[in-house]
Amino acid sequence: MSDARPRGRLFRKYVVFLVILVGGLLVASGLFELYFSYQEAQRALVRLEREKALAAAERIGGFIGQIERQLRATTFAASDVPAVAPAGPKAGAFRQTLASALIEQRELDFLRFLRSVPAARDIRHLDIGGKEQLRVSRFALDAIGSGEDFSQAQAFLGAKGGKTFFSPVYFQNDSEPYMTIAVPSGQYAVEVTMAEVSLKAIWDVVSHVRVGRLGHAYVIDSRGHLIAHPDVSLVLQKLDLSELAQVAEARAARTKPDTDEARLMIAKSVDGTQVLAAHAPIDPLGWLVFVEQPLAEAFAPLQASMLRGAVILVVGLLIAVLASIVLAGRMVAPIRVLQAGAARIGAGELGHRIEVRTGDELEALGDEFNRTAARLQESYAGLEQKVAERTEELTRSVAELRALGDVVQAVNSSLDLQQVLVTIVTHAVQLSGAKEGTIYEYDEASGIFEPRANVGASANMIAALRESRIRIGDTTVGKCAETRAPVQLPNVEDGAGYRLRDLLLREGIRSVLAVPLLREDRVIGALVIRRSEAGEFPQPVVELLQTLAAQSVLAIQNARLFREIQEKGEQLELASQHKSQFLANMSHELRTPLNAIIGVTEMLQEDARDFKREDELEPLDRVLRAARHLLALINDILDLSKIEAGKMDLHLESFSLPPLIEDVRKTIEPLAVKNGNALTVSCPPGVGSIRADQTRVRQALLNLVSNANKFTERGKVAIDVHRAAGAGGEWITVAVADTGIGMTPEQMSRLFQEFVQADASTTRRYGGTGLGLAISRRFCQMMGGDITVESAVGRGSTFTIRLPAEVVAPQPIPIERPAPAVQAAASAASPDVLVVDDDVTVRDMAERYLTREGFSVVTADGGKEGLRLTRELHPSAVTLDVIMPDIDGWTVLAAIKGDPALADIPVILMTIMDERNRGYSLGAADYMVKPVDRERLAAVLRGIVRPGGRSVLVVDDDDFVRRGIAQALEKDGWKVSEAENGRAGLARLTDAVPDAIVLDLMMPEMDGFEFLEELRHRAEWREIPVVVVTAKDLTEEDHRRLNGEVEGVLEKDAPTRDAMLREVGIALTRCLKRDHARKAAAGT
Amino acid sequence: MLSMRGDLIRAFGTLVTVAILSSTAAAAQPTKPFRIGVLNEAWAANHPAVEGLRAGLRELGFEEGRDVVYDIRFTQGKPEATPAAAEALVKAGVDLIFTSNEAATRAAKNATRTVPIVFTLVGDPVIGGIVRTIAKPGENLTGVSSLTTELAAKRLELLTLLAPKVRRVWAIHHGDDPSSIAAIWTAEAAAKQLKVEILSRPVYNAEQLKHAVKSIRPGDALLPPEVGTLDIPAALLELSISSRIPAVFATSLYVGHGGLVSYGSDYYAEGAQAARLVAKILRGARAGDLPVEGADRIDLAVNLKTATSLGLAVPRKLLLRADTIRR
Repeated sequence: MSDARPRGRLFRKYVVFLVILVGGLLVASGLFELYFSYQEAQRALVRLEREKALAAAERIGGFIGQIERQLRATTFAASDVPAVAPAGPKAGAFRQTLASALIEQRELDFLRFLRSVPAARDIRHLDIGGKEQLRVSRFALDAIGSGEDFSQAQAFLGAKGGKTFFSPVYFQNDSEPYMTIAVPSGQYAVEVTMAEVSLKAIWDVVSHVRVGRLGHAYVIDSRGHLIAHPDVSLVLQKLDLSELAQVAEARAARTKPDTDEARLMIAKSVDGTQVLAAHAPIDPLGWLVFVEQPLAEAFAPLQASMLRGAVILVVGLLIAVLASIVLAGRMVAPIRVLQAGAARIGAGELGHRIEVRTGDELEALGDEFNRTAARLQESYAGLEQKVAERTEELTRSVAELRALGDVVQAVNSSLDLQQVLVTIVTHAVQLSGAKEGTIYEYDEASGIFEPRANVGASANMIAALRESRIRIGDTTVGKCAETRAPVQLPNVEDGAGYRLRDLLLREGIRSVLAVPLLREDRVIGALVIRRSEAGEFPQPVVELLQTLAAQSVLAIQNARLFREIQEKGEQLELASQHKSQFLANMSHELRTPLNAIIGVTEMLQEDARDFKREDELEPLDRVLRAARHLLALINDILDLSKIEAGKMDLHLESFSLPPLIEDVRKTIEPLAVKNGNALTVSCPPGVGSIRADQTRVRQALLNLVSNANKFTERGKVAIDVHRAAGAGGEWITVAVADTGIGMTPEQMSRLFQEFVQADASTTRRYGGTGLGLAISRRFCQMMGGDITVESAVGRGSTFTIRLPAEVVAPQPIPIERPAPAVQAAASAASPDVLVVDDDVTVRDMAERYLTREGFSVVTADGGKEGLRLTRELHPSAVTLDVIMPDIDGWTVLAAIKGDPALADIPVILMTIMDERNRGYSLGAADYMVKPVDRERLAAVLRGIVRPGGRSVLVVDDDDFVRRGIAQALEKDGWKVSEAENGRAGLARLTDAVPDAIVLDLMMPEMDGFEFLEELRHRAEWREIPVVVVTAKDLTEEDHRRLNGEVEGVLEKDAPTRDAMLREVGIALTRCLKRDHARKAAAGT
Repeated sequence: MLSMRGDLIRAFGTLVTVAILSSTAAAAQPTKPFRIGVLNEAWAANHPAVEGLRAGLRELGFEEGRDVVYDIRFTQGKPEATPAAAEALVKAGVDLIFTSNEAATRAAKNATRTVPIVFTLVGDPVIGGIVRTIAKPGENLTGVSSLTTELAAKRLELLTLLAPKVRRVWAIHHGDDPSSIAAIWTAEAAAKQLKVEILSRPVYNAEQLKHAVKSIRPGDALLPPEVGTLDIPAALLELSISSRIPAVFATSLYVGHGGLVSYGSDYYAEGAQAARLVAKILRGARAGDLPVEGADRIDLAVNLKTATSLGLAVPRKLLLRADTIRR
């Protein structure tokens, strides 16, 4: 439709030419008109301004002149000493009288002067020497013969010359303008009379001059300084205006009197606006009056005439444009008809005929176009038909391609086989123009083609097809499968003996085409389309169906694969579940008998010791050692298998390194002493804390340090801790170096393999499972680190643990803190807590525990320090010890609560004085892993139970274990009651409430978890401390069920304190939650 | 030819400038009259300063009712009512506050930091803490100073001129009034030259005033303060008449009531003078930029009858100086 040919260019040319011609004339005349009226207005304005300036100058000049005349008048009345004076002795007295008479006369003259000149402030008479003889003032005291010296004053010197002196303007109080006028007086005009005159009157004159709304006048003195202006503040700034263009020109003009007619000036005003300025001189003074009016205002009237001119111009231009359009239109019309006609013919409208009746060359041109068009029309007629046919073909191909695209997309994007197959059949039916179609899937087991998807078929037909149980070689479907090639039945009526003939004829089907679905020559199914017309299917349709069949194969194949994968996945999951179950049970099953072995052996050993049966001691000791070794081995294997199974969970927490290192050192110390090794630790104080699994780090480190001591005799073992920045953050390295036997490179290469020590003989000589190092390394790798080794035979070895300072959990959910409230509070505000305690261990533990809970912790080692830090840091909460050496907790509490700025900080008192008040704990106070170290258990119980209370309930289903524990505790002075499961335990509790409970977790009837829940529901039992004793390998889930109250406590020897610290954590959370809620309610 | 072309170009350039500038110059005619709040402690609305203001503004082209309206609050000598009246004026939304005397000015200053204030009858605005400097008062205040401090010496001079025998001059004043104290200092400086002794007596209540008055002896003279706190000038006028003690007052008001002589600004003239400042502010000037003006008109008034009753001769040169002579 659109044509690149320029349209209407001729017309535009004509219009532009005419507009320029007429419009140009109009604009030129308008601008000349404006220019002259502007000139005239300017002249008129400056005349007006000049008149105002002259009037103001005259008034100001008159004002000053009047004062000068009045001042001169005072000099006539009193003249100097008369020429004739008596001589002799009376001369002095006469002179005296005469002088005082003169002064009196002059004083009266001066008083008259002040009366008639209100602007005068004072008036003085100076004698020939410039000494003041008389002063009359409105403000100061009058004075006669004061003799004040004015001989150097400008006024005196100026007037003594015989002329009136006008001083420069000066300001009193920095606010009022004054001028001194001095005239010569006395008979010889050698004395001087001078007056100080206020010039505020000039200001009034100036501020009364108005030109328009914004025009104003101002006065400058002979130096070019501003002395009067309507804006007084400008005058008080003592502005020097001699730089302004209009001032400079006016001052220059004064020196050349011939150029009196000052030029109109457009210049910048004091405030920088464009003004129209005129001026007039004030003659005796050399001052200038300026009258200025902002240009904007001055020429405002001119704007109206400019507007008129512009309107006329616009109207004229419009008329010119209209006229040009009409005129040009006339000229261009026949050309346009020609152009439009030619364009229509060119666009293929060959039947069009051009109508130009101008009777000139243009008409002839039109006729020529018409003839050409007629000839073209004839030759095009044949071409069009061919094009139509081709287009139809193309449309079909495009439809096929699009369908194919849809099918491919369906196959690729959907696993819903049915939907994909329906899509394929639908397209197959549509594109081939068939009535209906079906996809069969071949079931190899039964050898039958099952219809999977039908399109267009009636319900009857579908039912019939389903029942027809087609086999290979049977009907078109079977045949195409047999031949692996498309088979068609061009006319159903001809197919005598065809099995489905009657069915097809009943449904109005006259021809059938079947294409096999093949995958690597295996029959998967078939695609069939049925038409209601008889006849061969054209080749393109057959090919299309083959393509669609290939897609169907893919879809069916995809669906089958998916089904298989799903089944495999389910099987795998089940297997994995079984394995974890097995692992958990293994630990129980393996440890329980060992438990019995160790327990019985220990008892036997004690008995042997008690009864002095020395010969039994050694074998029993061997049994015990063997059993313990076996236990260690089981633990190692369990760890290893858990790692292998990916079931090893990490308990990530932040903890301080030095205590851990110290703990390891203490544990290994006996072994080091035994082997005569010097064990040294180098741990810089700034090494700080690490976030990792504390237990596993300890295990790895213990393993390395104990290995080092094992393989070194009378040498040195050094533990070296470092913290350094490295790839991806900070890293902690712990190097364990020994001076032991060392290893060959070959030995080192096998070092980290499971069950392998440096060589077989090592095992015999040094013992050990050979698992420890491999497990330790796996742990470190799980935490994102590693263990490396450097060694040489005879020179010792150095094992180095390298861990990131912030271990990131390897699994998506490494550990969940049991109390979500704590977590929420911690993440919401990350509050800081001040721990005040004189005991360094309490501080460390509090710091470790609270840091782990997400608090940021600051510690203070005494009451004074605590109070100082409270004021300085304003923490979110304070935990406070009661008994401290400097000032006790009660005093600190009183100080905090007494200070209004601090009173809102929650304070938690931490005291171990009254154990009964540790009431918050809902869960167990501790847990231990069987076999139980009885001494340890006793110590724990001693720690958590108040003095005097010595009754304990032992709940365990294993009679042997229960008896063993009971015996040990009884020996330690406890009153022990026993229960064989949770339910029995609860029954005992109703009889008598014990001071502590020792609880097994895995029991019949009611297990340990259920028992704990019951315990917590009863207020009177809630506070009973519980020590969990279990052979079960506690899972993450178990930890959760124990409500996090039993975690990691055995690592320290102060379980009561740790429990208490947990309560602190809970209490803090409560406080912070309250605080949070209050702030939210207050509505920030 | 060339220069004419240059001229033409320049002229067209100016034309364009004019066209742009004149389109921005919009003439806005004031449609609402300005509201002037008047605040003083007078007994009636027609305080001479207010009358002066009205006359002054009339002369400057502000027609009452059309261009300005007045909201006059006078507290009838009750200083405790003045702050409330000032607040009321501000609340009423006046465009400007015109005050007469120091207390009213201070009340207005405390009431607003935005509404411009023009004061009159303030003895010494700097000493009195009304403004920071005379030349640049700052904030929203300006006004006319009565020049009390400047005129104190001259008053003492006039007193000694009338009563040459006087040696002790009592300056009884309110002890908390800085203007009066400054004036007394000026007088003390001149006293030596005039061979008199100034007895400065600060009083704080009527009791003390009564007590101070008792110590005045015949032959002494009085220099009453300008400020009317505790009604000190009136009390001294009474004493002056009853005990025949010569006194020089700061305003001719007291001479009309039998005071001997006064030298000071004329209230009416001060009002008229302030009208000029008011007009400037109403036309857009900032009050704080307008320098405080000293009173233009200083009047000398003398009461010949009182002089005669005191047995004093009035010198010729004093008569020549006097603006008002009461017989």
